[in-house]
Amino acid sequence: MTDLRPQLRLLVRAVVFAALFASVAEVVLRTALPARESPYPRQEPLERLMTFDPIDNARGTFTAGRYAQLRVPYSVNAQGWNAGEDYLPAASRPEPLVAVLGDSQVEGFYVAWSDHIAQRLERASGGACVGYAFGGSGYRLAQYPAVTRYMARTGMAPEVVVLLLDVGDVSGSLRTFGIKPGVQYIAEQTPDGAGFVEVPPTPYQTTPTRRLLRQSAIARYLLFNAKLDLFGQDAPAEPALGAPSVPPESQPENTATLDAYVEWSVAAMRAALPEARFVLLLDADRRAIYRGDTPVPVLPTTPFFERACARHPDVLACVDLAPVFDARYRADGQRFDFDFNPHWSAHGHAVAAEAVFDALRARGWLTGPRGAE
Amino acid sequence: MHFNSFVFAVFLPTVFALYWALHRSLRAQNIVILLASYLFYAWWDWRFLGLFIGSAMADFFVGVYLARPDRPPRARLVALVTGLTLNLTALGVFKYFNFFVGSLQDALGLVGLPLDLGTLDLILPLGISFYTFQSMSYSLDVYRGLLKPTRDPVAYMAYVAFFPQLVAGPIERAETLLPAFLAPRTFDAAKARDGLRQILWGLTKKVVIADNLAGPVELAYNGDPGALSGLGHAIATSLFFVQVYCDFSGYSDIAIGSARLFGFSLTRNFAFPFFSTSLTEFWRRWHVTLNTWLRDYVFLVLEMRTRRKHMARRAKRPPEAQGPRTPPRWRTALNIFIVFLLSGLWHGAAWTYVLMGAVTGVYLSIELFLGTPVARQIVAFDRALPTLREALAILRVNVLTMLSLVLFRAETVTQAGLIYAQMLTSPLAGSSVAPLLGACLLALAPIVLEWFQRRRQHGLEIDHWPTWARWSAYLALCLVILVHGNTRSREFVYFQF
Repeated sequence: MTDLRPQLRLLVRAVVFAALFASVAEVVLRTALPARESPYPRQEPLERLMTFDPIDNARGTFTAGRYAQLRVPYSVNAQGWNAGEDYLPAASRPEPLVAVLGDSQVEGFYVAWSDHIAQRLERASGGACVGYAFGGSGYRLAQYPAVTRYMARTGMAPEVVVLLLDVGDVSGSLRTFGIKPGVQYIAEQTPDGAGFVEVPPTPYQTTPTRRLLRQSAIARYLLFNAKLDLFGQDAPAEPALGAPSVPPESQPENTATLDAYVEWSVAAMRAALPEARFVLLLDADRRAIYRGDTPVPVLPTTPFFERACARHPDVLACVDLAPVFDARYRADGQRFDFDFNPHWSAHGHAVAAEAVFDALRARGWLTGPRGAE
Repeated sequence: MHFNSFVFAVFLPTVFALYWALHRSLRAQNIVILLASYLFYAWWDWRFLGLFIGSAMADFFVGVYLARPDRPPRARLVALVTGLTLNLTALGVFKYFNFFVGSLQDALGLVGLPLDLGTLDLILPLGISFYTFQSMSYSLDVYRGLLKPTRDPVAYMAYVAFFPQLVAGPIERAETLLPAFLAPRTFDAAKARDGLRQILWGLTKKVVIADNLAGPVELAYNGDPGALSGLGHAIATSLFFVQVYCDFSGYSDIAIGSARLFGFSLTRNFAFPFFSTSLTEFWRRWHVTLNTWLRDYVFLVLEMRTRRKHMARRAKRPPEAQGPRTPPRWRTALNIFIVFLLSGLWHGAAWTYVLMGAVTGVYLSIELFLGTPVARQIVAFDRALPTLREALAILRVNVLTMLSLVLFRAETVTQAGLIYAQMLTSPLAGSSVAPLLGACLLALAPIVLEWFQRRRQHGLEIDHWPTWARWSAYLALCLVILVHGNTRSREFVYFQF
């Protein structure tokens, strides 16, 4: 009988080495190259919004990039949002509120709270208003009626709501275009095609396994900093079938449905916050700006929002960042995001805040000086 | 399944444990290898398993037919040619059909005969060039009497499908590897440990060096050739040289190291080619198994034919006019040229590869005429540094090879032409080369490290180091992989061949 001990010894050595390596890597990824720390997601019980646990892991250092190039402290407030302060309801504060809603840009892990667009707006107004952010990774247009209901319920009563919108915000919200229900809201066209209904998110709870995994700096580093797709398939032999080559927004046959959906969303938000005015802040194709494309291409979603603004000029205003970013980039050549990550940097937040403030002042929706920065 | 994937990190130890748990049965071990190899291949695309099995079976049955000693020579030849035809037809249809049809259409179009022959919308099966050559070597070796044909289909199929070298080599010869599938394997702990070291070194070269060099190379080759200076193109192509070396030799290292865990010895595929003092030596150190395959099955056949013809012609002449016994040197040069033309075509169905092969053939023919000495031993074997003459020779070899690699990397002959033109006419005019300089440091790292290891089999053969130093080196490399390893680019460059 062949002796199997050498093979077992090799396996044991390999396991010992793996344990040693894991220990060393844990130390390195907690000190020299800190792996990303982030709060635990949770689901609001009433509106089922994805926010953060305000108790466990509520403070830490968010890092991004393979070499942790970006290191920003975060802090979850009592309401579950990533912000440097607790949000006060209208009854407890004298200043009007400008609420900024959006996806991970507004969630704001990539900049310090003082550099966030909400805080920039507050400072630009010379303290005439307060700026709060209600953002979450993966938020799309379908989410915002629920966020406005949340603000109404919690008595935030914003004077102005700024919605940061991007590619995919419209069609990416609709089941019609193959979007499946998940932990975020989506909308569905009624069978008669006359209206839309919300499809609420599926219940979410952070599992003990996920919490345990987040204790490991190696796991966090691989998943968030290195963005390693551990269980990803090898490159397919042929391109994935069904991947739309043209966004639904660019297909004329979808125009009526998408226009109707934007209108329905605006109506739903206004119903929740009838006193508020809304600014639709449209992000730009920044890569095209850096390339020097002239003119800067219009995002496929932009015409839908611009038509909505034209229909409700008294309560809805569009701010397209494409010309703003383009002019600024041509003037100073400074990027609005990181070379290793497409989220806005502090500069991106600052330029966007200036554009929003100018639009608000031009319409008389907010008064006060700009340039307290 | 890729070697640089998490799935493989689970797959390899699982197969290792299962394989050695069944050590009492040779057949069971071969079945484990066979099934594991099919799973490895099917992970990419299961639909091509049939083609792969069919191609291998054709050669198996040719072997069975040739096993009978009483077959007439003509019938043996017919059996061999049938097997080879089946293999080459599959290769031709999947890899070369569109190329030849397209080229024919282009040629007819040039002489005013437009003809639409159509093309086939086919996916190139992974590793087809590698496993076809390996499978063909079996029938050729059996036909030439170098190998006794096997009647064990499991052992034979396991030999052809052996997952470490299935999709990108080393291209093994039946004569050397098949016997290992027919005899009980013994576990050599020292070799297995060194195999793990070789896997680690190969992985480092792949994910840290090759994948991180891919970006700067793509920037240079995907842009307007006129935008980058000639110097920039030279640097980018040099980076590509190191990228393709680290990618392919990294794959070979992982393959060889993995095979050693199962008690198999695969042929060394790269023998530190950057330190060659002649181009002939370079091609003996670069993709060794393909070049020896072509040498043994193509070049030597051509040479024998040349010699036979020469001798026949010579015999017809009167004794005083017979001339030398060896054929003229230009005939050998022509055979070398043909072999490298085929080598270029093996790499890909495109004129860039054919031209690259032709250029290499010309290089080696010139060396043949010049009588350039070909070192048998690695340079400065018993010294720390090469002499000035050796250093200049190394530089010449690498610069000439780099120049030919423009054809290897360029998408089209036109693009390659524009890059050569830029190198010649505008060596300094164009965008800054500064963004490429960081990548140059990265590219130098494995070369410097391998210089110190050049007398050994691979870059991490450090079994003579003290334990603490060895483990520190492993830890350092694993950390480098964790932090600097590129997680985006997964494909090995040679998968496309």
